[in-house]
Amino acid sequence: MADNQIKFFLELIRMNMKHSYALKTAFWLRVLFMLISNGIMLVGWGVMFHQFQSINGWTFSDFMFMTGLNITAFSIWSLFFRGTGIYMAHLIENGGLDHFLLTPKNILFHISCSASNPAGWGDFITGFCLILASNLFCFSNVFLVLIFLICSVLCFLTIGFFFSALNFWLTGFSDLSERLFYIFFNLSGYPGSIYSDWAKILLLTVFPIGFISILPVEILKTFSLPSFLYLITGISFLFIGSILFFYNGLKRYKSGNQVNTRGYQ
Amino acid sequence: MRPFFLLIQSSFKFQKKQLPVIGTRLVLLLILICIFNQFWQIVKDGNSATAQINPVDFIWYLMIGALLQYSRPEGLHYQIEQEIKTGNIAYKMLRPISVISIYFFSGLGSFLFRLPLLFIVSALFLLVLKGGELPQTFDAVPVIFLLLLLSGIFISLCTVFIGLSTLWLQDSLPLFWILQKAEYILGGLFFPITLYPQWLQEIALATPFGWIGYGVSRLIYDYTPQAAFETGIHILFWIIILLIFNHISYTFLRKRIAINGG
Amino acid sequence: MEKYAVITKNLSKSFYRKEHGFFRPATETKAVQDLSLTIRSGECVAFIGPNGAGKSTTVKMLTSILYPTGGSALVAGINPWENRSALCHQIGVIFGQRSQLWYHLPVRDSLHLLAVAYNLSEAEEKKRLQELSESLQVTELLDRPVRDLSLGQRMRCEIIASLLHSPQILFLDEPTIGLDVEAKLLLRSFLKQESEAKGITILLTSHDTGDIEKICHRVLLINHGSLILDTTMNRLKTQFMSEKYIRITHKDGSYQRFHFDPRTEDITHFLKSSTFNQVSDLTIENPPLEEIIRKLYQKEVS
Repeated sequence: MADNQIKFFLELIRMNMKHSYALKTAFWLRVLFMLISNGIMLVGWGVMFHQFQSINGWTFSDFMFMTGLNITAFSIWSLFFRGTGIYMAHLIENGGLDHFLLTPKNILFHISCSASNPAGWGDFITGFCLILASNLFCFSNVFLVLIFLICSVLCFLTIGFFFSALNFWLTGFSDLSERLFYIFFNLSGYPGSIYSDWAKILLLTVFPIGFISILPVEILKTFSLPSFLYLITGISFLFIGSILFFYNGLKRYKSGNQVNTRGYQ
Repeated sequence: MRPFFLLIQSSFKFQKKQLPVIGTRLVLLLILICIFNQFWQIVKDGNSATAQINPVDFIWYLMIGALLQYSRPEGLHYQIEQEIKTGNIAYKMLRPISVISIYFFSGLGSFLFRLPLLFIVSALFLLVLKGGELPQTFDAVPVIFLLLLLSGIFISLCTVFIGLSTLWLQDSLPLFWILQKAEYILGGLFFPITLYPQWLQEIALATPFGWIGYGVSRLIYDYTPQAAFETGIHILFWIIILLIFNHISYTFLRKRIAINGG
Repeated sequence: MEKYAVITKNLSKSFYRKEHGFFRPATETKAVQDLSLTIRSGECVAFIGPNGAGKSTTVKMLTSILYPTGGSALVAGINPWENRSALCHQIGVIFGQRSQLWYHLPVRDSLHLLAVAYNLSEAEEKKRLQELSESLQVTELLDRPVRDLSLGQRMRCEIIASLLHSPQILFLDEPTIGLDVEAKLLLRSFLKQESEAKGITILLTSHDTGDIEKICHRVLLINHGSLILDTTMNRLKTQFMSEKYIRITHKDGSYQRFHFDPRTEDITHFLKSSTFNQVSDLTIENPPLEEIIRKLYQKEVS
């Protein structure tokens, strides 16, 4: 059965890619403009680090690694799991889960993988280049970086599941849930070194963006096993928690009668 | 003019329903202020350039700059995009007021509602955060408000333009990203553009973003009537340019829809 | 195959809604109350009832979409809420206003995804797809993107999507809504033929009496969430409205219509007493189903 699930999700992702490439001009424009927009952002941060050299011990290279990780994880989210966030939130609010409930495959991932934003390719390229360009990256720690990347994606998924599932309880929340997700994404883009200790505790527990913007760079700079284990167990804990939260909410699902077709960018 | 006032009025009423959205934005704004407050305390020592601007001035500067971003209505460009994509705009063109002005004025209405609200709350927050200390030229607040209003008009026009760009680009989102990033970097939302290298300062002030961002916000610590006047003239200039752009786009839209037969 | 397609016992569902203030207790709406029924495999059953009677809620509970607040159910011998995935293989669902097709992509792609979801082998998929698309006359539509299809064409493709995995039980919720006469006829005869040839159980909710009459043998009337009436289509037609419609055509081409109740009037007496001359044709009809259902609903209200 398990391999059938995997076959289905690969097929679903393939469909998604095809769907987002159906409007070719829009596809390429999104990729291109995302690259430009990331470029502008990097100029800004470059200027800042040029001015200050280091921010509380973090150099531009450290920052590049963090941003690279952040953007790559985000791009994987927007390419393959874009269904969390506003799409899922709207489905829950408008009672649109029927079709997903009637398909004999995991519903949470079926929804999550049902949308894709081609702009993610622009982010993916930017993020990947940034990681490669950073001094923190070398071939001996490829494996570690991969683990960080997976953890960061899980972190985004956790936040996405949580804010989408809140719609089972709160009515009229769907637009806010997307916005809250983006707040978390935006905040995960600031260098982890600027936070005070209190803020760090918050960011490594209830507002879990520290798992993206603080721990990976600190671990790469000076490896510490407790930090590493905390990163992995912490993220797994939050991730499983958010899945349980979703399934708990699913029991409250109210089906609606909206006319809709599939596919969302 | 009366219909437009009615539009602004009705979008005011709509804002009451939007309070959760405004609340979330406010929270984000305050978090951002905290982050940058901490950031500036970390970087201000040991750097000659940053020593020119004291922490109180800096954080007020940042707040004014962020106000513009956080007070404007979200999704205006997206609404116009959807109107064009679904073709609904053809039906709405039958009404006596142009669709685009409806969007523009309702957007402006919500801007007018949010700006003072966000300003009061975040100003109080800053007073508490900085122990009651005010920035150097706090008296300039009325002038700043006037200029923020102009900037709001500019940004609303800009969003309308981005919405209309759907006609050529199939999609309004890409240009919107560019707008956001340009506002951040060229508008000096990280820190005043006087700290930028010369070439980037020149680019920033050659675009409207340097003026609506840095141009307006620096008046909170460095106000002179000339500077305020110069900023105002620049923003007005860019408003006129955008009015022309939007007019051209809209005429094009009308023709295109007429050709398609609605 | 299970002997019973659907068994429910005291099935109930309530919705809670906060209307006034956070601390006031939520108002409870009972959508379905203590519904007990059995449907044998191979039966074609219509759920009828006025808007808001609880038909859709019942169907959605039986298809595992909604959790019940009380009672139990077995669909194809499976508890819908405990073993959703197994249930999905047994049932097919068509909601008239829902789409499972991808907007910008050819229909074939969407169908292939579903085939993978239901673990069909490539040979099975090909055979089934050919069979269905031929009988629904959509073979030439399969390579067109969904956005280019008309509503009727899309609906036919939706039905293929719901039947691709050869389900044993078919739930149809307003399947012909918005379709033109031609498409409706095609769809009805297709469903009838599917159910007769393969022994599929059909549960239909519709406001279109044509659907009910053509497809179903048994009718369940639901109102305020309870089962009011459980009868066969034939009995419904004869028993619940004894009135007959008589149409008499004269030789000169003119005709007359009469309502006539055999329980209170004597038909021979009626025919004798009437002053007919030169009758060329006489038909006695049962009232249309629409009329019967309207009477039933009215009785329910009063």
